[in-house]
Amino acid sequence: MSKSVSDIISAMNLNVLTDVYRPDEMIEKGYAGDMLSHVMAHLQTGECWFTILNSMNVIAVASLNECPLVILTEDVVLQEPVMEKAKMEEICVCNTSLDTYSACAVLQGILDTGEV
Amino acid sequence: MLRSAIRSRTSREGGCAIEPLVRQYEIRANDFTHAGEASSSMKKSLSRLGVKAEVIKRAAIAMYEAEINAVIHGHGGMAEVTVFPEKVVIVIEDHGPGIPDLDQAMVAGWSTAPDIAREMGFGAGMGLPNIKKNCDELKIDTKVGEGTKVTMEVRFT
Ligand SMILES: Nc1ncnc2c1ncn2[C@@H]1O[C@H](COP(=O)(O)OP(=O)(O)OP(=O)(O)O)[C@@H](O)[C@H]1O
Ligand SMILES: [Mg+2]
Repeated sequence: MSKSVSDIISAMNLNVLTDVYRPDEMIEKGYAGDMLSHVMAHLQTGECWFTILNSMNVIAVASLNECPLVILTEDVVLQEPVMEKAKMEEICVCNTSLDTYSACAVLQGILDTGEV
Repeated sequence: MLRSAIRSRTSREGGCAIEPLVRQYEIRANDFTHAGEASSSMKKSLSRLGVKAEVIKRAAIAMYEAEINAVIHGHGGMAEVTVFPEKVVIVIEDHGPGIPDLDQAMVAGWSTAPDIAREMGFGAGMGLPNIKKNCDELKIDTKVGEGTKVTMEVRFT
């Protein structure tokens, strides 16, 4: 089952740090990782990315992979210059207080049941 | 800061002028803030030219990894992107310490990245393997004490 970016944001109760640029893009699964070159190699189309990283390079990697939704876990926030870059590149970045494991589990529940 | 310059080289084949598009970018040492801008700009140029998304993604990943290596390991350098009708050739050259054992460096998981880079999520030792996987041709010229030149070719078809 897949869900749109905006459905996932509301179902997971995510805090939107930037703007939602591609609300209707469909997400089929997530990818979790904090090593950028692993993410570069494995993040696929149709996946949102869970990470605790918040450097400028997160935006570069998300942008090169055309990732429609980046979810920062454990209440990680973006510094102003990174926020600006994310907005410029139109990358939707959200955060949640959940840790990566729990956030992934919540997403999987949503994708499994198809309920929002 | 990123500086780019466009040069044109003209070559003539059978009376027909072919002008590959050449772009150069400066890559600054330890500048993680602007690292990736050259790859991002190349990606936009290729997509304006109508190159297939899958091919652009491979070229962008390879270039980004090489660019970041020049930032972290190579004390900065230059990138040159040449777009031909059938392929893109990307050269990333630095005048850093060079790679003492290239076979070792190519091994997935091998990394000498400093802590500052690891804190930002680099240092998995996956950059060079990623480059190899995504290029159709890869050539690495490196000499200890002189620097490293990574030449990558990605074909459009
Ligand atoms: N331009 C370079 N100059 C000097 N040494 C380099 C250069 N590029 C790579 N190396 C060496 O090769 C090693 C492996 O590079 P690779 O890109 O695979 O991994 P990494 O940069 O350490 O981590 P990652 O790319 O996963 O973030 C580096 O740790 C470094 O020792
Ligand atoms: Mg690397």
